[in-house]
Amino acid sequence: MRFRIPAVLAISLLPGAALAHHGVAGLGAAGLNGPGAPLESTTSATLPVGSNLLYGKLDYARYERFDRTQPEGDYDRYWMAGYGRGISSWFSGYLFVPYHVKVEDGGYDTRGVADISLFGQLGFKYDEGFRLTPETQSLDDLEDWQYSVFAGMTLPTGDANLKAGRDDFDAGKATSFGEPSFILGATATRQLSPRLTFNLEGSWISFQTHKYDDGVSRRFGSERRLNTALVYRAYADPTSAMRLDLSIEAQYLRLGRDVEAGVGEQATGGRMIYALPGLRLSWERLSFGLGVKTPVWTNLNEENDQQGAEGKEDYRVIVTASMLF
Amino acid sequence: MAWLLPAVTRLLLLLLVATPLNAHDLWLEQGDDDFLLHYGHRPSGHSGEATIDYAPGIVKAVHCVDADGRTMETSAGTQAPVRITGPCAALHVLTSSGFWSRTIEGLRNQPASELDGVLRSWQAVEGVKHMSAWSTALATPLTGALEITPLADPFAAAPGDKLRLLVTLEGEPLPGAAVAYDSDTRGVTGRDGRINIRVRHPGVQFITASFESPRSDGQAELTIHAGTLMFELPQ
Repeated sequence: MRFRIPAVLAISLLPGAALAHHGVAGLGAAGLNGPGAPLESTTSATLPVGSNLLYGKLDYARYERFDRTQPEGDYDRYWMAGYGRGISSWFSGYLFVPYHVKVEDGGYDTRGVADISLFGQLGFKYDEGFRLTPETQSLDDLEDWQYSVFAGMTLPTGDANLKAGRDDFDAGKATSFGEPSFILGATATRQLSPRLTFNLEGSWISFQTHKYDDGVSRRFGSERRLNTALVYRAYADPTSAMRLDLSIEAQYLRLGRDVEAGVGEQATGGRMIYALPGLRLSWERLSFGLGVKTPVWTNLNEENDQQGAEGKEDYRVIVTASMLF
Repeated sequence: MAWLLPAVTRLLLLLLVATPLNAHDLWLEQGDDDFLLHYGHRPSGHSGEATIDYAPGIVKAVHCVDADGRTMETSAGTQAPVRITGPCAALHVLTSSGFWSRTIEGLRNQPASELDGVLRSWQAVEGVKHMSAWSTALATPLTGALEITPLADPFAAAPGDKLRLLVTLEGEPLPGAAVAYDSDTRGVTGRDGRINIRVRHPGVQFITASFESPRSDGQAELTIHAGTLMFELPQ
C-alpha cells in the first residue's frame, strides 16, 4: 500500500493553525484575550484587511512497522511554507508551498517540492442576523458565533512520476497528484468563556484521475474531515504580550478507496480518529505551536495491509510558526 | 484597513500614556433630582468607593437634557463634590484638570511652554455622562466632547446583551477610540465610531472611552480625551 500525499495538510494550514489570535479585534490586547486557535484545525478567523501572514509548518510522521516483509514508509517530513493576505475583513487568500521528504527502509526515499495550493476563505458571523466579518470587532463581538467557508485547489507543480529508486512505481510516494485537486470546507467557532474556545471544521477534498508515465490511470480517494477542538488560554501577560494556549483536537478522517486502472485498489481507504493535544505560544505578532498527533481509533479497509498509511502512524509531531505583519 | 495597525499603535500608546490619568474616575451620583460629581475610586463589586478631593474649577461645562432631548436649565455648585441641579434624563459634565508636563523633576500641572526639561506633556479633558431615561432623541451626542452614546435603549439590556454604542468627538464618529467596560478594555471603535459592548452585570454600568489627539500649539504634545457613560440597570 502507498503513502498518500497529504494534500490535506494544506487545508489544515488555513487560519486555524495560525491566525485566530492575531489581533482580529483590531486591538493590541485582543490577541491576549480573544478566542484561541487550535494547532491544526481551521478556525473562522479571517486575516485583518491589509495584513500579511507568513507561515511555516513541519509535520513529522513516523509509522508503525508491523510487517517487516513489506518495504513501506519509515517516516515522512512534510514541510510547508505559506503566505496569507487579508484582502478584505471578510475574505483572506492563501498560498502554500509544500516540500515533502518520504523516507523508506533501504534508502528508497523521495523528496521535493509538492503541489502548491491556493485557498480563499470567506468569514461571516451571527450578530442580530448573519453578516460578513466586520473590520473591527470588540472582544465582546468575538464571543459571538463566527463562521467561515473556504475553497481551494492544488496545482500539479510537483512530480507525479517521481520514483523512489526502485523499478516499481508508487504514486503515493510521488510529490504530485498530477492533476488539480479541489477542496471545500466550513468552520464554526465560539468563545465559550473568556478562556475557553470551541472550534468545529468540516472539509472535503476531491482528486482527479491522472494518467501516469507507466500508462496507468490512478485517482486518489476523496477525503472527508470533521475536526473539533477546545482551546484553553492558560496564561496571558499584557506586559510581555505573551500568551499560552493548551488545545485538544479530535480529528475524524474518512478516506475513500484509491482507484487504479478503473478498479478499487486494495489496502487503501478507511476511517480514523486522531487526537492532537498541543500548545501554542504567542508573543506579539509571532506564534509558535507544538503538538503530537496519534490515531486513537481506526477502521481501515484492509487494516492489516495498510502499513505506512494514514491511521497507521506511531505518532505525528506538528510544529508551526507564524508571523502577522 | 491600512488604518488598523496605526489604530492599534494608537491604542497601545494611549493605554500607556493614559494610565496615570485614568487611575481615578469621575462619576455622577444621582439624588432625588440633583447629581453629585465624584472623583476617585468609584464603587464596584470589588471595592468600596473612595473619593478624592478635587478643585471645583475642573468643571468646564454642564449639559442637561430632558427625555425629549430639550436642553434644561441647570447649575453647578462651587464646592467639591460639585452639585449639579436636575432633573435630567441625560446629564453631561465636562472637566479638565488642565495641562500636565512630566519633567526630570517630576509631574507638573503646567503647560510645557512654561517649563524646561519637559519629557512628555498633555492636556487632560474628561467628560462623564449619566443617563436615567431613554428616547430616540438621546441617540445622538449631547456635546462636542468625547462622548459615548447608546444607539438603542440601554435600559432594555440585560446581562449578556450587547450595547450598540457610538463614540464621537466634536460630534463626529471617532474611529480608534479605546473602550472599556468596568475598566476592562474591550476594543476600539471602528471606522464608523461604533463598538458593541456586552453588559456583564445588573446595577450601575460604567463604560469609558479614551483617545489622544496631537497638539501643535506648544502647550502640550497631545490632548487626552476621556469619556464615561453611566446608567443603572435593575438588580
